[in-house]
Amino acid sequence: MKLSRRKFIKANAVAATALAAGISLPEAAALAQEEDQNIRWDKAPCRFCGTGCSVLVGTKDGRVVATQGDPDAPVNRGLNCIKGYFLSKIMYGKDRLKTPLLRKKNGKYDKEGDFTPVSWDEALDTMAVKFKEALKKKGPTSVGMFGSGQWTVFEGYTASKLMKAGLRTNNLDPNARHCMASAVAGFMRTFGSDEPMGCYDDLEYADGFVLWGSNMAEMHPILWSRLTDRRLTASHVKVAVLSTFENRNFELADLGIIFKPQTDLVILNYIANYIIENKAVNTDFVGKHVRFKKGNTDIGYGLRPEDEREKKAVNASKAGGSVDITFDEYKKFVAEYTLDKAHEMTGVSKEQLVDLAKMYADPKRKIVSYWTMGFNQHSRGTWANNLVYNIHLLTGKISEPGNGPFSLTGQPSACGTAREVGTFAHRLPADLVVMNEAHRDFAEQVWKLPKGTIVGKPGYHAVLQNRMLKDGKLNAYWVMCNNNVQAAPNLNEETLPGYRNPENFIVVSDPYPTVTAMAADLILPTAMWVEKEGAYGNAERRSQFWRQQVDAPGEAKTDIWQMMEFSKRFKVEEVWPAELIAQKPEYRGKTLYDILYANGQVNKYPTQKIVDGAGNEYKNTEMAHFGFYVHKGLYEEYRIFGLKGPKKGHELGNFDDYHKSRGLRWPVIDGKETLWRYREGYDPHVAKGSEVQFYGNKDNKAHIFALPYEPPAESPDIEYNLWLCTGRVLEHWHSGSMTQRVPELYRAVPHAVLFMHPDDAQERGLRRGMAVKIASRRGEVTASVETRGRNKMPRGMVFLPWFDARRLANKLILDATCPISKETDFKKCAVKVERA
Amino acid sequence: MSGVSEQAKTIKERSRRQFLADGAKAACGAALLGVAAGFGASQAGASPQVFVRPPGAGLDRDFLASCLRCGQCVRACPHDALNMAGLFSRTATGTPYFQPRKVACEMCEDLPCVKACPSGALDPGLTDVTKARMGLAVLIDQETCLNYLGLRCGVCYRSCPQIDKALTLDAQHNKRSGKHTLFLPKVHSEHCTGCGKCERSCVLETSAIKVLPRTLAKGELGHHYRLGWEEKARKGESLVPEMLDLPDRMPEFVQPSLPEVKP
Amino acid sequence: MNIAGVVVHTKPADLATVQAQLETMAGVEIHGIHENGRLVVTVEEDGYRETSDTVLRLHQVQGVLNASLVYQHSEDIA
Repeated sequence: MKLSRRKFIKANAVAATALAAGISLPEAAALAQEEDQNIRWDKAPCRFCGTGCSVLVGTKDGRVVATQGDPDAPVNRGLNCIKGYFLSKIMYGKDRLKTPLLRKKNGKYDKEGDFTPVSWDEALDTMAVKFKEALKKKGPTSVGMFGSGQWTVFEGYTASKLMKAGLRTNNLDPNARHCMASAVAGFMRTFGSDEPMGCYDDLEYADGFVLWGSNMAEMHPILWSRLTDRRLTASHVKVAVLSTFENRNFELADLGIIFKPQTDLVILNYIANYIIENKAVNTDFVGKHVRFKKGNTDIGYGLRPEDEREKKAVNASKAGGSVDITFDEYKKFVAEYTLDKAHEMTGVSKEQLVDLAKMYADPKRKIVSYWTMGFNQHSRGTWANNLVYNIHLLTGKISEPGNGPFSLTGQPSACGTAREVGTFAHRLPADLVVMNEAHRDFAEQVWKLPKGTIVGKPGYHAVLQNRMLKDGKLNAYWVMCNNNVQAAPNLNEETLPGYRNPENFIVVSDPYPTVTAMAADLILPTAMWVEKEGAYGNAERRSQFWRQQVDAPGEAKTDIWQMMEFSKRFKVEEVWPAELIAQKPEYRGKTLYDILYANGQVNKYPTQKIVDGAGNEYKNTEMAHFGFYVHKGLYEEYRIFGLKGPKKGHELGNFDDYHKSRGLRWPVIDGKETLWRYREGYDPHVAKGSEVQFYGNKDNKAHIFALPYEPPAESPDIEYNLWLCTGRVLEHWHSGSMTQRVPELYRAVPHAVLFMHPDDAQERGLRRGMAVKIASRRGEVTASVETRGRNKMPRGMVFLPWFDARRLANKLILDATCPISKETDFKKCAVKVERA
Repeated sequence: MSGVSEQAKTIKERSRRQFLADGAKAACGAALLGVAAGFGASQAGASPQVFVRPPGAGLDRDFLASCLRCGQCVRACPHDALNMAGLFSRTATGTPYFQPRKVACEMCEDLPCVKACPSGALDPGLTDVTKARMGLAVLIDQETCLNYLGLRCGVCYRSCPQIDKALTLDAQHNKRSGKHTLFLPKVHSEHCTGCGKCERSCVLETSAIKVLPRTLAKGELGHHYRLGWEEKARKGESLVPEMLDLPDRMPEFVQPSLPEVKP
Repeated sequence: MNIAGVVVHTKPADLATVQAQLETMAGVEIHGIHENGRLVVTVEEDGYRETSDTVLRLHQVQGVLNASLVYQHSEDIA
């Protein structure tokens, strides 16, 4: 680097001097461009959000020196947002972790010791001892893992096998639980199959867009740029934006609606009522393709069982239950959501409510509904998802170009990894679930496991994991590829006490010393992004592969390497009961590595040269280390779930095709991508003549749910008199562990500030820029007040971004979840603000 | 020519060279080098080519006449944004200025710098910081500005304390990609205070948006011309109402209508 | 690190001797020569004081009529 920079500057000096001397030195000009000439370019998806922009990665001398948006990528056509612009810098923060660090005192592991560099052998051996100790003492429920929607497909699959098959624990959950679990639960409940039916092409086909709790302008910047373009180039297109405060989307909105927190449930039911009252129901569609159900109500808030709010809730233990009803019963149910009532409860003007309802009711207007965290991080998140499907199903505006509900995901592979390979505490690959015996049987058969290996009871979900850590029931815990101390709710009362509980051993794998890493007992330095071969799946079901471009620094290892090496340290006799092993006597004396990965399937593909179309050769660290093409083996085994599994519609394409293409949208059948699911002609699974089949459910019908408004878990009162909403900013990715290390992005937005209405500030004697203390019942944070700027708050509500590790917004948040999806409501709790 | 004379010539030549080297020419070279090296060395520090003054400073000519060079405003600035011009500065020594790329003005609502000014050089009549006119932001380089390239940056826009007033995003169709939008930052001099948050936050190596003194930055429309659409909007109707507009002759069987827009 | 680009002028006849002398100087590198007597030279030193010394020394080289500094860059390379 030092040398090439010097050479580059010298070349510039020569070029300038030659020009002044009137001498033409073509070689000088060429030299100045030499930097670019020797760069090797290859494709990869962006490391950040779920949009899935494709970039070209420029590598030179073993280092990523440049990136560019891929001009031929269908998603982004050469464009990036400002985070993507700085991709080449995220791996080179000065404090990259390069060696395992174990807390030690007097040369021995000690929970209260200082981080001390250790070898990988010592790190993994210590870890194995701790996991075995826990297993022996309390069984498989005392070990667990917290994974990621930023894991590659291969990594998620490796983890799924390690935990659910190897260690026989379902205590595996991804950070996607905080992000789109409500969307998952909603999709499963209504359609019996996860993930959106449409794709990004809808952006160019729709005549109207409705954004429900999605700050798309900042969080999905490239998609927003496409939506805006549609609005600008077709004058009839209308954009409605709904939010609890005015964000950047309102710039473009034809209809900008601010509603009182939680009352989106009212608006959704009002629209359904309007559609029925105004005879806008697509009766043919509803008659053929829809069933009606009434969901259980009074379902609590996913809090600890001893909480008064849980004790009072009648159906807290049966939150997902429902009964069949008729259309007339449904009609009667929504009839109470009149215009007057909706206006009164939501604070939205009647004109706006009617305008919005008309957009959906107009049979000629094709509509796409988008949502992100406003719906998902909601104590009735699953309901909100169900309710928006209701509207699309009532009008038949679904599963065709320009029509459909679309959940935008926040993470690069929340779909491809967290959801599809089964890293949730209740799931197995390709939509299978652990509670279903047939599903378990199938998984055990693919994985060549004795019957009964996979446990039928869901494990601890994200929020429950932290509670169980605190309660000492979860004792050996591995956090990989996420920053959950910063991301999880109620840091002071649940997360940190759990991590620092003397009974527990916490391992964190990360490229950087995040807040979570610092709270751990063992830190494993980890390879990131293009330091390994990978695959991500974006929000439109597009799976994108990339090759390893560079080596990880120092001793940093890939996630797959870490998990597989860890699995070598377990003899099957140490983790499985005798009766299980008796079914497969050939497994006696073998390690989990032998059974899970060297199983004749995953290790089926020998080492090979990895070469791109231009003849460039690439490394593959895992292949070199384990002696087989690990990624291909994992993929081909995983692919069986989609091709032969009990749930159809998850078929994936050929491994090599993904390396050659800019991503393919599944189901990939007969060499073709699927853009719209469930509609005849677009989706090969839909039988001829049936028009539409929601084949995720056995009767091929989608479910419309009657679900009411219920209040949030905590609302402002006299003392804690403001609503707090947390969220993100365009410049930083999630907890900022990567983007805060890019100097330019740090300079652009160095700190999180508290957005507040000027009158609320004045009332408290606060001025813009003043340091304030934001306090909830659970903790306090100091930040400076912003009364101007990108977010305009209504009276009574403040907004605090959570990327800033020095202002941990999650000290304030209550760990109340949607009782069905178990996803935390990060958007609503009560706080007070005073001068610091 | 003999070897001796050749040698003599060489000595002579050398002494002449020596003389010259010790003299003017070398001095010139050294001076040139000094300037250039100084310039190069300060390149990283972005030497201010122009001077952005604190709130209430007004026109530089008037400000320099009334500023006492006392440094009170510099001391009063709670964000250490203000500096005093040094001995070799290209503006009057001792006068206050700030370099937005290093520290932008935070636009304190209570204007501590103005209050600290004993001479009134910083206009005590300025009580609303949004009325300050320290300079004017100018998007100087459209070639490198990421927004003009179609990337979703807008960092300057979102960092603007007067967002949507002083700085707006002008949405235009991205002809190259065919399906995206260019969000072009546009400064509105009516609202821009010149605080420099935009220049400070620009993520490029060298900021594409810079604060300039208003006199340098602002164009001036010919006094003879009015903007028709603005005049009409102000009046609420055409300035020449009640004009006759005869209907267009059309074949009767054709119903003229706007073409329907389809994707 | 400090890099300067310098145009060195000499009589066309002296080009070869000047070139030979420049090539012996530490930190000096020739990138181009024009038959009309101009050479494109870079000077590379750690600091700008050393750079100015070297550029001044260029004037002392026999046959050099003038050395003019065209480009100068300095930065810390860690």
